[in-house]
Amino acid sequence: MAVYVARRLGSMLATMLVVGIVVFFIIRAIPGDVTSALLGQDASPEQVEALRQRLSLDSPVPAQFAAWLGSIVTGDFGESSYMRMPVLQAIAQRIEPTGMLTLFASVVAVLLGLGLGVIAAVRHNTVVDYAVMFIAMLGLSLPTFWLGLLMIMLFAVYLKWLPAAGYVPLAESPVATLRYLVMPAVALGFSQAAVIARMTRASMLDTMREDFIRTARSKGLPSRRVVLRHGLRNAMMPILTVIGLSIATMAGGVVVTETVFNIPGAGRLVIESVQRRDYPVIQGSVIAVAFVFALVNLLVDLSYLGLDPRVRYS
Amino acid sequence: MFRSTSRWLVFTLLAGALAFGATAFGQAEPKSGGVLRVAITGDPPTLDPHTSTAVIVLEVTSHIAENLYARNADGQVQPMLAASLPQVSADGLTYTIAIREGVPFQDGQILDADDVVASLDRWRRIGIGKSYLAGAEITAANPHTVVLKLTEPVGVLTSVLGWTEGAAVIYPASLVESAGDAPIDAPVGTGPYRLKEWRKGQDVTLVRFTDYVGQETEPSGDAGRKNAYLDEIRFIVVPDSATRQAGLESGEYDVNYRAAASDLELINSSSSMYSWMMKPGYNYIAVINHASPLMQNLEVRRALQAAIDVYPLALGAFGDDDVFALTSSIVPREYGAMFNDQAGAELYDIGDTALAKSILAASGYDGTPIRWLTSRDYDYQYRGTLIAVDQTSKVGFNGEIIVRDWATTVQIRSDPTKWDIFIGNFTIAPEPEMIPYLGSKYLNHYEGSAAYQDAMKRLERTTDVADRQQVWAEAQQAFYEDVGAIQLVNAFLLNAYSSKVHVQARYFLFQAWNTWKE
Repeated sequence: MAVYVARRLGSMLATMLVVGIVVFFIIRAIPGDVTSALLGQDASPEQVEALRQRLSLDSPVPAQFAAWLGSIVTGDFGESSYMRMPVLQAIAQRIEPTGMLTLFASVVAVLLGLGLGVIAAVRHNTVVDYAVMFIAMLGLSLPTFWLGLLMIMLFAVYLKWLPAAGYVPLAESPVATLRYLVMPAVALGFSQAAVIARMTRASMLDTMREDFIRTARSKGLPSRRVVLRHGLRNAMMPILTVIGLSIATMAGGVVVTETVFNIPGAGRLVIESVQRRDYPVIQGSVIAVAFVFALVNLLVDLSYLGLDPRVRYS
Repeated sequence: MFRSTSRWLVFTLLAGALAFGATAFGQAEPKSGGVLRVAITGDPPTLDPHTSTAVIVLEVTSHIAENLYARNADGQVQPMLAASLPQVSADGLTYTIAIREGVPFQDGQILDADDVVASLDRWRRIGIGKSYLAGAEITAANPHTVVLKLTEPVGVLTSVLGWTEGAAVIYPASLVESAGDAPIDAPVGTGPYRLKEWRKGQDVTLVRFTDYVGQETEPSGDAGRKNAYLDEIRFIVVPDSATRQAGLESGEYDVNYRAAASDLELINSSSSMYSWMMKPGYNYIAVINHASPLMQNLEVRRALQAAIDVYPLALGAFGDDDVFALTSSIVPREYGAMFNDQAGAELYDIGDTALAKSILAASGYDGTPIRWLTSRDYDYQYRGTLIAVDQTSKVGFNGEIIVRDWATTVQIRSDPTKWDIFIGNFTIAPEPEMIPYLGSKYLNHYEGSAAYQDAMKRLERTTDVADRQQVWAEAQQAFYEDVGAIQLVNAFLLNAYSSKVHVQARYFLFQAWNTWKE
């Protein structure tokens, strides 16, 4: 087990390095650099050239790559050209809003997805099933930004129940954090809830046809116990995989939600950095996202151990 | 019964009218205190105006640091940190500038001539000052007098020292020394607000500088008295325009900096907010790349000039004719003396297809596609370009539209072999010498005809305002005849304010001094 985890962690590092190298060359293949964002549009070609030299953007790409690789292996992700602060510090400042948003959105997605999926499976081929699947289809089809804007119009502008946009750090006021995160978490979690609901329904339908379910029913167990204890638990393996993917997708894809709700998170940092061509931040952020993906995958794989005693890692 | 009802109605109407008058016309007594939350479009790249000409930089930092001079609402230069306008020697080479005494910096130091010398030297070294003070000697004659000795006359120098974009702000000499050429992230100035915190990518918070000592003259434009009524100004980065507007409507923000033109009607129809058009905004023009062989053909340029019908182009680009104004003047009326809507006016907004066709026929144009560079990051650029291509194709031009994201567009613009025309917003300045596309060092590589060059050279050496107006009229006429660029419109900037925010003296730049909140 320990060897397995160590091997997975090793392969995670290799994955992140490969991702970093690919991103390094891709972003340099795109024209433009950070000088246009830094100097303003009236800058003269002389000013642009001077700044390019100062930021070492005029040195050959292989030389830039060697310098970057040399520092990355020592854990130094470099300094943001636009924000003039260490990349890790820039990302660290943005982690809390993104982490909290992903957490809340995951709670919304899992509770809603599991609940609706189980109901649809139990009430298979009834109006309830069709209604739940319609909601799930709606969740998959509605663009997050549109749902977000609708919620802002309703709950912030007209009803004035919730703040329209922004974020309050947890340390400042946990209640305010919650208030600011309700709408973005629902907007972000809704589409993933739909994915989870559909998988839950399908997996539950398969499981509920199994012999051990019939045995449980024939023993006279209450229906709720049969569904939740015997059905859901055995249906969980594929659902858990989807939940893991959903969480990773939300963590890596929060940018639209962060933009609409003006949450100063890591997703927005990535987009802004791409627009500004802030190479060190793009590289650092993409590596961080790859890390989250790999970590969630590892945790999901490890959670199979708890769910199914037959699973062994060696 | 009828009588008492009508009396009551008259009373109510009168009371309502009085209340409306008090609010709408700023009669209410200003109140100190409160936080002004301004939703801005993006994170400022720096808080050091010496190093950037970006408008967002100047609109945030103008609260913190000040120049020697400032422009009033009529475009006239007035003293700010200087005690008076400079004494200029007869040959125009020596400027003697008296500095105000007893002006504190936000770090407790008192302003003196050494601070001015250090700041101007840095501004000349790393900022736009290079174009005006290169080779000049900058010295402190005494603790309150600075002397600039130029190598040749610079007619526009006082004006530039009072300009806001890439501003020659005055920092303490100690800060200049410690910062060197690197951008200053924590500026210290003499302005009515000081920097409290800059959380990069999130917000910039300024608080009232209680020891502020400003000018005592009436507020006007950038000049005059600056009352710091607000306790705090918070510039919050909100890139999405729909979110900025929704936040203003819900009370989350007090100002939507750069509202969308499509929201103008909504804003004007609401009692909880009002719109404020920042005029003149930008010059929306078609910049011509004069290094391109195709564009070096004057008749081709003249045919393009004749083909462009400005109003439909601008309406299509901006969507609402309240947000732009047609003008042939390169320097807008609001910027003072250099406004001129006569010289070259006959060559503005021609929109004559038959004329354009006849000029094109005589030009020897062989059908080579004109490369129109544009970016969808700014919708008005893209839409305007589409319409311009359509208008010019009707007279026989072939057009090729190159659409890229903004950073790529900027990169392509810097390579004169890759584009022919670019339509976009360009910063306007009060003096022609300060407008980049009128000079040869900018990305459009415009040298101009002999008549234009001669007029611009004379203008650079002319200080007297009346003389400058005369010479500039000649230059503007030559610019139009030579089709240096195709002037389109002044594109305004729309800001939306909560009705609870009152501004005493309006200007075309965002200012939060002389502003108070209910």
